[in-house]
Amino acid sequence: MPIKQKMTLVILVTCSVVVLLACAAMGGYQIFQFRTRLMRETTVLADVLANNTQAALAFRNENDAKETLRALEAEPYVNSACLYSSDGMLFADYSQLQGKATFPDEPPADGSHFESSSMVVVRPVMLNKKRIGTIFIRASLQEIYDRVKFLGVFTGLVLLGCGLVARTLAVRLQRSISQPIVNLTEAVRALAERSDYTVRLPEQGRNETGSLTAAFNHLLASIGERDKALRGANQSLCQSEAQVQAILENLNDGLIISDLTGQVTSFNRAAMEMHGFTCMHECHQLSEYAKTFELSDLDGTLCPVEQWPLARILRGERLRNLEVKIRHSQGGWRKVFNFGGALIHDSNGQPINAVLTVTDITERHQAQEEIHQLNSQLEIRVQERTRQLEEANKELESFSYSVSHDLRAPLRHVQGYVQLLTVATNGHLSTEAREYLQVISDASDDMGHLIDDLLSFSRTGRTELKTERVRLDELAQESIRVLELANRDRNIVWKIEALPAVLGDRAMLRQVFANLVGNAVKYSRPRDPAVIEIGCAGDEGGRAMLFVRDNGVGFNMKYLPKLFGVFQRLHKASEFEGTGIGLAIVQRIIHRHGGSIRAEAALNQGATFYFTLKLAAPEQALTGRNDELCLA
Amino acid sequence: MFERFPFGRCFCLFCIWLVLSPCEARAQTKEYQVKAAFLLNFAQFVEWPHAAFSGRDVPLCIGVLGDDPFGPALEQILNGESIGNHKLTIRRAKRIEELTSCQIVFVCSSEHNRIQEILAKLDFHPVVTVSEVADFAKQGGTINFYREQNKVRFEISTASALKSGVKISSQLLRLGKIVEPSPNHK
Repeated sequence: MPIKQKMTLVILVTCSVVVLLACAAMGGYQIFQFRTRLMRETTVLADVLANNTQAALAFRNENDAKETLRALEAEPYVNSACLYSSDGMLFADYSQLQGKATFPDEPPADGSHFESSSMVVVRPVMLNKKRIGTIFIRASLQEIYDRVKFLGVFTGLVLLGCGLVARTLAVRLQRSISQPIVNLTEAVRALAERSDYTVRLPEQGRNETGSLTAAFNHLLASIGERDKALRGANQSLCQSEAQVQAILENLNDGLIISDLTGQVTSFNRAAMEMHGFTCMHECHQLSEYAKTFELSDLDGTLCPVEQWPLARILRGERLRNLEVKIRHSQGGWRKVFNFGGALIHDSNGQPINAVLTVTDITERHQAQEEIHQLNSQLEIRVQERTRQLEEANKELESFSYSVSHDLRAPLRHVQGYVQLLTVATNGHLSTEAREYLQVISDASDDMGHLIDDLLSFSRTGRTELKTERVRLDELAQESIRVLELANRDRNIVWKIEALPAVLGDRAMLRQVFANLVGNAVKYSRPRDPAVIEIGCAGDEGGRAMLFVRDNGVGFNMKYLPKLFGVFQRLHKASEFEGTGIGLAIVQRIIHRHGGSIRAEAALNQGATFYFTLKLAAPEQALTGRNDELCLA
Repeated sequence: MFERFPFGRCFCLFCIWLVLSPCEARAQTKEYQVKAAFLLNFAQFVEWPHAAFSGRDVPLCIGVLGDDPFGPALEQILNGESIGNHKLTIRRAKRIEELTSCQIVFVCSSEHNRIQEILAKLDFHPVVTVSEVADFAKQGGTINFYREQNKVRFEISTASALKSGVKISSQLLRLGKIVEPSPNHK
């Protein structure tokens, strides 16, 4: 119902109820008053009649009593009346309507009461303080009914009149209240239809409607702002959505999104291709896949559906690099997929869906397997080759040893016969012939040295190490003593530091010192004085770092790779004699002892050779160990 | 109603029985009971001058002259009754002189030959004279009973009432038959 009609109705109903209540109250009061008056009047009348009928009752004169009662004709409202004698018998009666009145057989109790359509007054008739009878009067209430009827009609008329007036007034007066609301409503409806939040409603004054309008305008402004912001956000959301979609579609990795029940909601292009789907509706519920695909881990153990990647994610697991073999039951293809994924949570930490990434690693897996296969094959081959090489090496070494050894016999013959020839031809030979003999002798000596070195080198590779405690001090002194004897004419300054005791083969280590110190003496020949240092530069990991330094001619560091090679020489034989095997022997010995060797040098600025050897335990502790070694 | 007032019911039946009783003696008794009641009523509707009573609480005396026809009825009805402050008493006598101080004198039929004599004795006394002698009021008495349609009625002589100085209630007058003293009786 529109507010206009509602307000008019409210006013009308209010007016009507008020008028009705007023009329009812007035009428009720009037009727009450009338009844009270009627009762009083009737009572008075009864008392008068009682007085007048005393004698008639006393003398039992019914005619007289009737005569007296007939005086009631003057009162039209009295319907009927009667007198009872003191013994309760009906004595005389009166009726407005001839003979139609009925009376109680016995007089009722004194007083007055109302019957259905009449009022009854009963009064005693007293004589000389004694009750001699009872008078009974029945008065009609017709007048009251007439009055009620009149009041009813009157009220109806007043109601009608008031209603008309009230309606006229209400129709006019309600406009001031309803019209602004109606205007507002219409404006709002128009606004809602157009969805134009820039429109403002006209001001309505300073009352409630006015504040409603103002509040509405304010609301509109904020809605407009939000609408704008929403549109902006929506647009950027759409853009980012499109961007995400494009990324998803062009991703090489597959991406599957599922809701929490396992129903797949999104498959990107890569995922569809990987699974062999051609359109989206082929992607079903997780349980449907079980009919199409067969998953197993890399060992080939079949995965039950509840262990499938999506099922595990839905249980809250976080997957990373899960490699799974997949087989299409009908298509027959086999692939290896790398799965990853997790549940996606909203800002409250509630899971909303599950995301699963898939990478097709079939090729990689195949390649890996091939590499694996190749690797194992290669290992076998390397072992075989190593064995072959070792055999060849052994053969070669025994060959070179036998060659060197066999070469010594003829060389000894050559030297021996050259000496015999020199002794036998003492003084007979020409100086020229003696020079030739000298050249033969020198060349065979050189060759002998070479063969000795070669044998020595060969021996160092083949002979067993006899590990024992070796005091390097002694070895150093030994090598110096030998070299001092041979170079008595040279001025050499020796700087020998205290050297530790090490574990190693005494004979071989002696050779190391002999070679290194020998080299130092040899290449410092141009120096006067030659300074040669032997020392220990500390220890690392249980090994002593030892060095031999000279101030000789040194060498260019770019030739370092060649330095320890066999037959490698950095100087001409005419400058410094040598076979080119010495350092190779040193390196081999140090390597066989598990140590390392390196050199530092610069041309004409001397050279330093560093090498490491295993430190020996202090003397007392070693005694037992020596026994063990001896026993071994 | 009857159940609630069994006494009233019995009383009604009793009255009916009394009225319809065929027995003459009973009828006689009934008649005198009514007359005794009438005597009482007369006392109630008559106003005596102050001089009639020698004091405020003096009893109102009803005298019965001659042979008493009431039997026990008079005592039955009047005993214990009083008018205003005046208690009712009954006095019986053969001679009128003994009854001059009474306020009501009932002249019995036995005295019907001495009416004038009796009335003369009561002249100017505030006494209401009542009798069942026919035309007693016309002869100078105040009230006399008579029977009409088997009912007890009475005649009143206002003149004699006036002469004796008593005021008779208009109600009583309306019920009775007003008679004038006839001159032939004088």
